[in-house]
Amino acid sequence: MPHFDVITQQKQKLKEALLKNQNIVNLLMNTGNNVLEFENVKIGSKSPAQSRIKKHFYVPKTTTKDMNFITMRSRIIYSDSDVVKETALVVYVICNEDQIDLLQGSRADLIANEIDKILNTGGNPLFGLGGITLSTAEEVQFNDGYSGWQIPYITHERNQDGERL
Amino acid sequence: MSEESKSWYRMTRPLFNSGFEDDEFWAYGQDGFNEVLDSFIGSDVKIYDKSLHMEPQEVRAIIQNATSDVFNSTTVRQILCNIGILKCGQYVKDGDVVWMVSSLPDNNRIYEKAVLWKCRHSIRFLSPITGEIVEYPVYSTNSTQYGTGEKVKTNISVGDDQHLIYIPYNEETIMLDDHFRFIMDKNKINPTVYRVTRVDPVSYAVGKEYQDDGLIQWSVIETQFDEERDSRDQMIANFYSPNVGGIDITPGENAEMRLVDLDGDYILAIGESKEIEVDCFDADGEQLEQFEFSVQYENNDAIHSVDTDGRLIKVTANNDMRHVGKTFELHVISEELNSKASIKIQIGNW
Repeated sequence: MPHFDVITQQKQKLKEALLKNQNIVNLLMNTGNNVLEFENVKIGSKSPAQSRIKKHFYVPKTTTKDMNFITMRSRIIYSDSDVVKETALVVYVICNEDQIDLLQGSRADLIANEIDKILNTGGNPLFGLGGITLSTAEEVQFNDGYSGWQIPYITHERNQDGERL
Repeated sequence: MSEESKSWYRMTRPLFNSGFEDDEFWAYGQDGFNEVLDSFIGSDVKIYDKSLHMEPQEVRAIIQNATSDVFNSTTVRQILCNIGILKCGQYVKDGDVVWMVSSLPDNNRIYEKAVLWKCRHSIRFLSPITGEIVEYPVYSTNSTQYGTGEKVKTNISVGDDQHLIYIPYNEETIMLDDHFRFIMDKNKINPTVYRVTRVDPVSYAVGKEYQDDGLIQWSVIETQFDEERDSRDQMIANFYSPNVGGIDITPGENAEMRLVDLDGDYILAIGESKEIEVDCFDADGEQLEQFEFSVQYENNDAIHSVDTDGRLIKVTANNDMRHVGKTFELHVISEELNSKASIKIQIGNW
């Protein structure tokens, strides 16, 4: 398996899982402040939330108005073992500060919770060997008007060197 | 009256002559201006209401400040014409030269006056209303100031040219928002593309009384020419949309079948399903409810299943990233109508 193929697949699988999740799509697209009154936005690959979930490290510019995003950034933490390498997928929840306060809590917190339900499952991981662990996460301000979460998930994948053994 | 003496009596005679100066002014003022308009000082100009696609109004006008010593003044004029003609945002065509009414016109009870800006460039784009190619002359100023035109990023330098663009306000131009891209360059081999970063419809509006008039000011920055989407020949950005699939129809003598991709994009994501509707129309364009057809397709690793339910065909793709980018063709054939329709779908990613 090529060295970075797993990176592509991790992001791919996460984006697919996010777009299939009704709560996440609703939280990304609805602009009201009450989750109970949110409309169900279309899920799947044709969802309007497609463009709000980016498989690269994206931070909206201040001219990007009224939008919420989930973006990703990968890291390979170490690969000195011939067989296994440790990778991190850092997930960013980026919310417009004008829309972040919902009656049920912070929009960013609610999205982060839904993402954690997908990735931090223990028994049946979305990708990786053995499981995905949540590293220390923190809330950050990305740009003027945009706040949210930076959440690194760590997993083990097969290393390219191991394929030759 | 002889021909020679006619010119001395061109003014319309007033209905009264009280002897007071104010009455004389009202009686002769506008007629006097009309006389000047008709003389060699005046010009025949065409006035377009905020788009060159509108039918122009042909009027006489006086264009002032034609001679100047500095470049910036050579692109500014004053126009004088009869009261009630000018509006901010109109185009004025004097010969082949296009100007834009950039100020709120007003009058001194004899004539109406406004400031004209020379439209330095024309931009072409696909109308957000009709989808057709439209062209708008614009006035622009370079707002890069004394920058080099380059901005150093972490690993590369990118173009950093900035302009302020002024375009008439109308129902079409107000639809062009942030991220709208257009080409503005004399170089047609390697043209420069600009992206709108701020739309200001307020600073050059002329008030609630003139709600339909005014200019829109755009701040634009240089961006990259996109070989996939932008057209050098047409000098239009975002001219092409990605062509990933389509429909091919072979009509019969009495009827033709049509396929409709209910998603409308001809892309099927891995692991997902897409519905295709089969419609049939007779020679008069009436839709037929009852007709028989068969579905044919070549075996394709990318496709998991093809199921037919009445006039709906459901195609499901395998959930395997190796198939992303492949295409799949499906044919619908009706022997009784001697008609055939095919659809090409591309396997896409999430």
